[in-house]
Amino acid sequence: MTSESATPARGDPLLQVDGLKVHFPLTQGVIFRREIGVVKAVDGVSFDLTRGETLGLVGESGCGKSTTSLAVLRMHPASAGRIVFEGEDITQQTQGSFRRRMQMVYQDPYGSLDPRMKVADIVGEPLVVHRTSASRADYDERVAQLLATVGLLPAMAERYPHEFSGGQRQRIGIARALALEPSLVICDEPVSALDVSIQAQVINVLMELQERLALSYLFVAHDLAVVRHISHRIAVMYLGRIVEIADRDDLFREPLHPYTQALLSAVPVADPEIEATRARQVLLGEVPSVMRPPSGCRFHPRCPQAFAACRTEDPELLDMGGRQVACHLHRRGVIPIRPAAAAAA
Amino acid sequence: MTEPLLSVKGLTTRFRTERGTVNAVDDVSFDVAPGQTVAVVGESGSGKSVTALSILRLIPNPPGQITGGQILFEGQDLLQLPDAQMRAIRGDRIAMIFQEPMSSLNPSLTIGLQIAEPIHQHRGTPWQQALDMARGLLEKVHIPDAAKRLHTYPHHYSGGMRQRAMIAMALACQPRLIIADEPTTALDVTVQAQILDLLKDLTRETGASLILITHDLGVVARYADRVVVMYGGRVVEQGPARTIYQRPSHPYTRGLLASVPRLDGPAGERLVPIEGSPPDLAALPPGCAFAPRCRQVSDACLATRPKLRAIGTDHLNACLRDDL
Repeated sequence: MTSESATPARGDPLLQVDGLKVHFPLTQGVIFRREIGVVKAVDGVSFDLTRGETLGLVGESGCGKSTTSLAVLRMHPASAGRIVFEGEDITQQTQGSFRRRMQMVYQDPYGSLDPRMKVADIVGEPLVVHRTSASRADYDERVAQLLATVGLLPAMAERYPHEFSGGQRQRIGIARALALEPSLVICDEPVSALDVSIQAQVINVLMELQERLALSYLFVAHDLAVVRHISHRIAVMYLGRIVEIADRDDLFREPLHPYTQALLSAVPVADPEIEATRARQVLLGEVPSVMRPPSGCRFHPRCPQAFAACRTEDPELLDMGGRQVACHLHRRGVIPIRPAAAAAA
Repeated sequence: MTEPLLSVKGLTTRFRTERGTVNAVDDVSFDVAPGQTVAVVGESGSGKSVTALSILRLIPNPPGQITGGQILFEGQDLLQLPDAQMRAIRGDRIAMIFQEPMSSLNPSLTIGLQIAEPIHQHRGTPWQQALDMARGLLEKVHIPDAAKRLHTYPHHYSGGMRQRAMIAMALACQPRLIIADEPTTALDVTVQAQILDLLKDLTRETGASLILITHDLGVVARYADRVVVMYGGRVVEQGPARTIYQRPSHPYTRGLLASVPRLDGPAGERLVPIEGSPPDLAALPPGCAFAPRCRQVSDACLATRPKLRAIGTDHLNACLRDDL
């Protein structure tokens, strides 16, 4: 695959998220509970995802990437906004066919599999819950098929999770997610708990399955190299907002938001020659608390290019021709300084 | 080459487990020159952390025990020192920075007290003066409002600030060697860059050597002068960082470099994974520990344990096959 195929022709969206907000009340007291504030974990997030596409959701801890994915799965109630999946508004729904059509692969391959269940029962449980199999033979065949799909041997069906390595467990988790033939799989940091030599195995399985089954992935991760590798488009989040969303190659070739630039520059490249000469931009400070987000642009206290308006005005997501960015520099037509240029100046 | 600051020779550390005795570190040798940053790279179970703990003699006994080798630090074998002398070296000449800043800081003592403690202990500096020095150290690691922060507790600090406090504590007695065990694994990338840059700047400034234990090949490329690659408790390859990245020689090192997606590599292509899983130390094969996962395995690899040998200037490799 080359960069031409990075972006499949963007057809009708499978998933549309529009102005999604997920707010959690902050309470005090045990008997007389009262609200003392609100945590805006996700605060106005919009994106869409087409069939067969992978959207990478990246950001540092507390940026709301996991909360966004849980809201899409309807595991967190949305405080505002709309979630449309396969043409159906599921924002207020808790039950329905969409439950089968979207599935999740979890981060922790140890905590997400019941240690007392055999692999066959773990993978087959969704089939039982949704009563999709006509007979026992049918069920057994489907389970065997699912295990084969993720590259596990049929004999492994009768074993327990503890007999498997981290990479194999993650395959079991993927097989379980595929049991009901979903169209959307949400992967929340699916490889970050695995050893480096194992991560590639799981990434390859996910990419092969996407090609074979035309799956869409919402791929949540903090490892930019992994996200770049697997995603067609990438949304960068910071404190509950999307600050930039673009095709993978555009984002990495020319990051527009100063935060994206800093994030890319912070990740070391596994090559001492490149690292020795690379111009870098190191951000000051840390991500502020979501409980007290900064005024105006939430990134302004750490932004090397902030000016007066950034402190007071909240930037909107601007359309930049096939990509979007939320930054005042672009509204004014000022092109932000790239890290290399900034270092040279 | 100048006299190494630290010279680990044939270090072997055993653990008694339910499944028998395992060599968590098995005949490991490497040198650290003054002012040098040496990265020890490996996956879980490779023995990289146990190596670090062994150098400081912090292996819990039982179940663990250092059964062989020498750890020469400034010409002195640390393994032969009485406990009291070893205590005098820990935190003074050799300092350690742990992965989890929250669990390695005492939650019930103020940060200032914890940084001042080694100064008071090792130097006999009066507490008040040690606290003053602690404030200076906090400023040095760029903690804003250091004078006020001195009297607050670890839970008031964010993850990055706690790790800065750990670095301040490690620097307190101007150590010659700092061992950092996955110092930024628990932190966000932008904070990771800040912390590692700080650590590198401070070691450069004080001329201290740094042993950086990590699994992140990008971090190694950015910060290390020298790389020691470990697998199954053994060193499989070591050499200058550039050599290791440009001409990786051991199939495991090559596999590792090929399996990691790179920011500057081709996106969307299939990665080349290393098949199988990291080794089970209790059931290592008789020959090369990597043999069961190696694509270039030969019969000899299964039977004979390869020795580390020189294959270039300062470049050592433990692979039987010299035709690769």
